[in-house]
Amino acid sequence: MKMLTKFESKSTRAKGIAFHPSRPWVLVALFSSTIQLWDYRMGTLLHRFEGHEGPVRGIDFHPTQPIFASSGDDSTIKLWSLDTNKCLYTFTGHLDYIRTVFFHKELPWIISASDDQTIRIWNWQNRKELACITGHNHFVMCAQFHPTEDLVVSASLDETVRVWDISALRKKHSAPVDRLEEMMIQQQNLLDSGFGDYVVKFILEGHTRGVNWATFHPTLPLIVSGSDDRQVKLWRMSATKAWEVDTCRGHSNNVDCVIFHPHQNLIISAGEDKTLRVWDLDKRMPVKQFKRDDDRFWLIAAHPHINLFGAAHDSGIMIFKLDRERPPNVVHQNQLIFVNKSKQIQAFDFQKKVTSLPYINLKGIGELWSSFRNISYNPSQHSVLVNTADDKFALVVLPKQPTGAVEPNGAIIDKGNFATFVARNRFVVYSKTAESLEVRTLDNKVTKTLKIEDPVKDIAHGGPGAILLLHPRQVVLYDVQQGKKLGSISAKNVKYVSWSNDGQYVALMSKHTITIATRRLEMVNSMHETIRIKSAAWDESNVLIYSTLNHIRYSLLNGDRGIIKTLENTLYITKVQDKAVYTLNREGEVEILNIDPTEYRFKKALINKNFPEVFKIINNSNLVGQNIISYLQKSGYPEIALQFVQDPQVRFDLALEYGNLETALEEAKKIDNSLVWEKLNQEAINQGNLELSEMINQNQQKFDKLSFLYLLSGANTKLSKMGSIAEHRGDVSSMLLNSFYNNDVSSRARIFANAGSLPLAFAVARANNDKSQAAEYLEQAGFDEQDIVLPKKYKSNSSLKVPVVSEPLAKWPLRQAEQSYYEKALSGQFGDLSVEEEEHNAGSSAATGFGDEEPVFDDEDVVGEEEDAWDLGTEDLDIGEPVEEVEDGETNNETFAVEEKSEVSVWVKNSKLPAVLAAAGAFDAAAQALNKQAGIVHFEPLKEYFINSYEGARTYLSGTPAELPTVEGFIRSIADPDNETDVLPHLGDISVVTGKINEGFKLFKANKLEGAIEVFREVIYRIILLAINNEEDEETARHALEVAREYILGLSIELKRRSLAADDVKRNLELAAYFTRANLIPSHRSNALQVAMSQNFKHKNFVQASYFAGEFLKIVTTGPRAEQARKIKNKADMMANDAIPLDFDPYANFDICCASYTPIYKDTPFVVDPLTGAKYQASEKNHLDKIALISKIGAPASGLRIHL
Amino acid sequence: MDYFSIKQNYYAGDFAQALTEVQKFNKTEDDTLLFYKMKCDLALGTYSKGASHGSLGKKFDLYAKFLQDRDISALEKSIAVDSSSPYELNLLASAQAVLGQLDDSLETCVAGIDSDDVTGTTELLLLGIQVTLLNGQFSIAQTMLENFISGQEGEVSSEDELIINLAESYVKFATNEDTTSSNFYYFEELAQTFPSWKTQLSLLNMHLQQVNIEESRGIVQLLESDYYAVEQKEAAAVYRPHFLASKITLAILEGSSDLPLLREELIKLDPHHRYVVSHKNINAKFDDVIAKYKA
Repeated sequence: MKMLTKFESKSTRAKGIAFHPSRPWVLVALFSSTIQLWDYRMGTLLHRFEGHEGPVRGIDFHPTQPIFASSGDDSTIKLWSLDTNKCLYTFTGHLDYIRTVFFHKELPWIISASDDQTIRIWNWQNRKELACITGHNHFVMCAQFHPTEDLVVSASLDETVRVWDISALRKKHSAPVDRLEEMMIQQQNLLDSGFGDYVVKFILEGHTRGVNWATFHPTLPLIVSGSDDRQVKLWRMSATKAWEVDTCRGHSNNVDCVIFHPHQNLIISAGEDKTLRVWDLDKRMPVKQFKRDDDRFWLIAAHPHINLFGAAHDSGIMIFKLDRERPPNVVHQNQLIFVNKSKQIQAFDFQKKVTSLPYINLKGIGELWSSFRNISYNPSQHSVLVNTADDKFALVVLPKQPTGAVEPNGAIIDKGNFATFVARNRFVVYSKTAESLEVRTLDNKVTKTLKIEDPVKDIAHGGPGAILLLHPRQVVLYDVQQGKKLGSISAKNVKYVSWSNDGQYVALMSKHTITIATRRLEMVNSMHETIRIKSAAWDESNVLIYSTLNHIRYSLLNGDRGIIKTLENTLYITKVQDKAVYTLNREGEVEILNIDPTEYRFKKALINKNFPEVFKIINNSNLVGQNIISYLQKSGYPEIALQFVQDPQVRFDLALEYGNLETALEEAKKIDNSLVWEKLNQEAINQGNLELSEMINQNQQKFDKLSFLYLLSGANTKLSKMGSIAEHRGDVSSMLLNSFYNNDVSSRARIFANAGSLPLAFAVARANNDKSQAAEYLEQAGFDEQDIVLPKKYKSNSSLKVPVVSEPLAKWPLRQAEQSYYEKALSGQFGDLSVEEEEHNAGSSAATGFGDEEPVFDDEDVVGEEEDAWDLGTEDLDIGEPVEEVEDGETNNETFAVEEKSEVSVWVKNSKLPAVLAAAGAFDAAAQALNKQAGIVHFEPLKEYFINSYEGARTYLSGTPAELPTVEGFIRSIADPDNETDVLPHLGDISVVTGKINEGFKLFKANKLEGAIEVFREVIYRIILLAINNEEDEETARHALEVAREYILGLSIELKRRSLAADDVKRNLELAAYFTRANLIPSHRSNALQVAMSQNFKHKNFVQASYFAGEFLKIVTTGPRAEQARKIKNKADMMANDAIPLDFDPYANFDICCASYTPIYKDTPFVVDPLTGAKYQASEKNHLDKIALISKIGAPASGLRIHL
Repeated sequence: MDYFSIKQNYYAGDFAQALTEVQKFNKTEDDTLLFYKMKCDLALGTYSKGASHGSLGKKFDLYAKFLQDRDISALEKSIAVDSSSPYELNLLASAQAVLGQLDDSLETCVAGIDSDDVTGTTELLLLGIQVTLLNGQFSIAQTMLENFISGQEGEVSSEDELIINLAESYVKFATNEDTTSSNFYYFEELAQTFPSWKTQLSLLNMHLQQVNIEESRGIVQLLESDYYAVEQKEAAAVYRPHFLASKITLAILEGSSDLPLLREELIKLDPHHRYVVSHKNINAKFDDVIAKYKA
């Protein structure tokens, strides 16, 4: 017997533990008042239930409902929901600590045992106390229902165990009663709390100290109890009496809990002597004990269905099983020979699919309570070698026919490990002490001894005459005959081995790793599984099918793998044949599973380029899924992937990827945007499909391209038509172009003449010897022939060659695109398959008008009388408040390179946005991206933001000991994402930007203009390093960028105006006027308008003043400011003239140059900044943008990207 | 011998209690006791030279000297990689790691882990795992851990297990595994059961890794309370640089204006701190970018 620990939790003292009946969950009651819910298979803490005050002692899952009960020192029982993780109800009534709480198996009852010396039964459905059982005269430590009968067993510190009969209680609460009777009973209950509902049936005396635990046997009339007298006592009961059967002595301190093994005749007890002890129920002898160094055991519980136990101790819990559950088995040709649960050998015929009767009973071999390690089969002798857990082996000859579990006749039992047959009449045995391998005959005589250097952990079959020696760090293929090593492979702790049917490959399995090797142990591949690997077998085509604790999976020889099926119970695969997987379950029975091999066959066929097979699979099965499409794309089979997709853009890209113009055209018609047509045109040209190119150019009105295409293909007629079309369109340069292509000299001369260039017209005519026309042009120009001096080396002969193409070309293939096998075979056949594809919408164009949009920022629609810090009176504006400097976090330091892998590379793999690159530390790449996208050239102002992006995605855990360097951890945008594609660094979100905008607004209102400009610049810098995952936020960000630009522009103009000399009135008024053109939110724009109005009025520019007053009144309609504006307007309208003419036409449409603060009227050349979109006079090209101070005006750029 | 309580207290950062536990044994010639005693003394700043005359004691003297002057030569000379005990190798490998000689340090660790001497190998594993993580070799760290655990064949004593658990949590932290689940609970449980500078700082990192700003602030306030900052001022001094590094991350996450001051303090306090090295490095890197585009 071996304790195999499956899970351990670390916590404070655990007092109770309960298994979920169907899920891999366990509840732990902690002394600290917490209840933990663990998934012991995955090792994760699912939830912590807080509610009890003080220690929690009792805990139990309901056998069928999603609820559980708990009890503790706060004298309450709590009923909890597993659906909502909330406490549903608290039962009060007990007056002291409640030690245990258990559900009834059928009735809606809970039983509790308390230090108030009572046992109480509660109905959890109607939330009533049904009975209060008194009789014990000290703390009741434990009380439980009988699994099937109406009995209760309790244990108390009064040194007794009592059995109570509660059949009357059941009768009362389940038999139909009339209302009057019910009321009487209820009243009676109130009086004596159910006196008569229970009777004490037996009082079991024998323990000499308090009894801590007592429990019924699941099926037999037995009770086991554990006590502070350090003893475990077994009691038997009949209908009328109960008596002590025996005592198990051995614990050296209090026994706190004791249970019967649910399936085997064993008792398991837990004691404060830090041991768990296992006893033989029949002989009452100790079988095994397990000791912990520091932790006292408080409770042990058995899983209701599977072979698992849980023990609660001082520093947590442990989940373990007693002994291995893998039925030892061996496959020989069409037979599986295995040991069943009762240690009998049976055979299963794979062809007939029947299990034989048992051949033989092996109970007498090895330790009674320990299962066998493994078996080896010898077909010629029809015998098995059985390896037991106590370092022995047995050679047992099986009867010819299975006739039932007969006792073995003349079995040879000897010391030695890993006995394995190596030939018809030989087997090997390993001796741990001598570290040698012995070859023995069938009558157990040693014929040869071979010394093995490394310690051996196990031996497996290694092909004829050979064995595999499983060492701790490697596996060695060993030829027993020659006594030499044939090959080896390093693989750690290999436990099991599976050979492929043709003996070419072997799978070496350790707990979490499968290594696949060739016959000679050359590595093919190795893979890691997070869930424990249990078994494996190869199918006929050398696909490895393996099982983990909860899955059946496959692995191809190239390492591709996937899940085939989820398992409810662990199964051990013995053989795979076509769609059938033969397995053994833990009960020692054969289970046959049907699997769908399509996925792995499909992948295998693809890898082997077995296209007819691929075609067959696609045709005959519904193999669909995102998974398979990305697999196909990744593996370079776009044409196959195309068959599974419906989304036009994806189909277009896939079709183009392998040159399928027809499908691409079909999809392009659906998408119909210029980018797609452009791409298709390019591919059409590459393939020389001139017809398609012509069509695209026609549709897209690419006239010049079309002309060139006709020229190249020699389509002269069409080319001449292009000339007339150009003429029709009045496009002079196109007309000229066509005249060159057509070699139409006279029209070329005419085009020049018509376009006003007579000298060129003359030159063309003259050069082509058209003297009359030349003379005509000369005359028109008013020149004489003698006035013209022709070049000396001039020749009139044309060197133009006549095109050699006599007939227009239709095809001009530069690249061959042949229809693939699939295309020919499949096109159009998979229209009904649908696959969800992510749609990539092109970034929506940002709106430009801010005033009438839904407000994003605080201040946007607040217009009114609110006083802000602006001095808007008729006197000079006086705003001289100090502006806070923005902190500058720059430091200069030496360089030294730190290599990073893994997490950072995944970020970069998942996104190339500048923000992500910055967080990853790829500053150069980020800068390059920003340069290309937004023309950024001056990076200094961005330093702080880059560094914060980098450092804000990292955290440093101190080392152990503290003097070691800290371990760096990464902060992700989503801490534990489901998909690797979502692994990205944590970066600031849009709220930072909107927050800053509002800060800028506040500074604006406070008249701190320099400060506001700094803040709006910060808005732009922060937007640059955003990584946004939704359209709405992206739009907000782009909107914010425009807001920031307009404010920086407006405020810069205003600052400039305030800095002017007092006598520069004209410029003052102009700047005041320009300020009103900045696209501010209305409440802020009213300030600008008021300034312009006042200034103009003051300087007797009444027409302008009236205009600004009118604009102002559109925004502010009431209040003293409006009143004043009306007065100004009235007076100004009366005067109706301007003293100083301004370069400002209020009714013209113009932009303001952000550098010179001058108007850029329509039709004047201008340049745009690629980052901010700010406009400048053409002369500002290549200067630094004045808005954000980081980008180059007019630089070519693709546009800033911030959307993930 | 049962060293559980010593190790439990030591790894939870309660060095004084660990020392008390060591003294309970009333023995001096045991290497494990000596190792933890000296380590605790070093951590508490109460180390005195020549306290033990045994071989390990002498190595400790050299290590203590190394921590002062960062000169590894004497230590290297006295500890031979192929013949020294795992505890001695631990000192050498620690020193190498402190100096950033990560490959050498790992080699030293591996030599000790693979040696026949079992005592002290788990401590070396913990060190080795940290070194591989520092070196960015995440998969090696994972494999090392798995191999070590499977090499123990399920017979891990609880005193070793607590070290292995810590090693595992380092790996999970560095590879963002179970960030919101088991790794977080591990540190939360630890900080609740053994509240100390070390455990609270670890929990702070877990919260930062999940961007739990409120909770992080709570721990920062807790660590700035008298109980931690004044009553445990020795530990506060030892962990001050790490605390500052965490506060910097928090300041960035919450957009606090304290950032430049925090950076300045840490740079002054511990110029070898990993944050500072990284900070200098990226600053320089960014300056290169600025220069490149200026040119």
